Amino acid sequence: MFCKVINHDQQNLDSYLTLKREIQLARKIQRKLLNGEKPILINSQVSGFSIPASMIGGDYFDFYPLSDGKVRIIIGDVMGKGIPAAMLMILTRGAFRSAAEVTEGPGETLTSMNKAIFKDLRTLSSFVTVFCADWDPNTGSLVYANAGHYMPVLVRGNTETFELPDLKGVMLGGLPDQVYQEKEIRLLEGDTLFFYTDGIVEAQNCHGEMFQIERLHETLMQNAHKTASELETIVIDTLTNFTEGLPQKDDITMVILKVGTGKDQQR
Amino acid sequence: MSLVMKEEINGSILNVQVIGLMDYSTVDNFMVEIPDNITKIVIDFSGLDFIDSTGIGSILSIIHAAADRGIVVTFEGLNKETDELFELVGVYIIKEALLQGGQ
Repeated sequence: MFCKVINHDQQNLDSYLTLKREIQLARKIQRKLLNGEKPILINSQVSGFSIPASMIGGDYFDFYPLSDGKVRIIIGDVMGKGIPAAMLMILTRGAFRSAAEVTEGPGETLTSMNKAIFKDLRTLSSFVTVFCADWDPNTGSLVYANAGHYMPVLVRGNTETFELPDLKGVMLGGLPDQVYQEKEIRLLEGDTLFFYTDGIVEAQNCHGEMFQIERLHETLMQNAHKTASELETIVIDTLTNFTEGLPQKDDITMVILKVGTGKDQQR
Repeated sequence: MSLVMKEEINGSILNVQVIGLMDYSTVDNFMVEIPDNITKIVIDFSGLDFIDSTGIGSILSIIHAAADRGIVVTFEGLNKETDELFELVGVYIIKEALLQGGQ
């Protein structure tokens, strides 16, 4: 009887350790996929960072260099948290990479992604919000499309912050056969474009207060002169100070595009 | 913070009241069984404190389940933040599209 109890406890411990190891491996895989190669850009910088709320998360960002010197940028948020969301994040990444290769613009990319993963997302009662943009460093043109995601914040000079002109679109997995529209904006020398997921503005401190979009705008404006990676660190530090290190419920993800550094940049 | 659900049937209308926090940690408590003979579901959000993407996923599941049976879903008591969030992710467009039976 005693031996049986010990064996049972040992089995539980073994199962726990195996599970822990597998989750750590999954975390490693996700971090590697998220923090892959950053594109080389002419006269601009791009950077991205993600902090999962638990061991692994459902937020996603990616850069896909296009043949004409442009780069396709995507940021997304899978419904839910943890392992289930992480599995769907990988599905989303696969759909983006496949679509980016063969589609003309961000609108067509989202249309193709929705076509590819709609049935799976509906079967799982899930969805993904994504924002996708083509950045052309040669002309300063940013063409974008949106599937239910927050519009990025544009910081112009050190004095002005505003969201990109609104563009509505249904989340991926919401409706079949959606056609996503595009808008275009011209970015100027010195502009900083900040893409983000809701984990940033909904980060909470111990008083239950949220960080909110106003604090984000203020932080971006005060630090608009910094490089993309410096700004990334500043936003994370500001969030950490605000939350006083309180564990967060949601993943925190950002992508920063900085225009006009005066020389070619590689990160 | 927790999530409380109150359901009431008035004739062929199912009223669902959502009170508290509707997120990843509480959404398992959100289970709506749609009885036979229901023609309309009214979801009252006036007691809702916060909803995240998981909560929106549960609302979408009701919309889809109702649409499969030809049942109309309406929302009441939405605050500005939740209204804007539903607008942003496309909940209203999905609701209308399914109501029209076009998708």
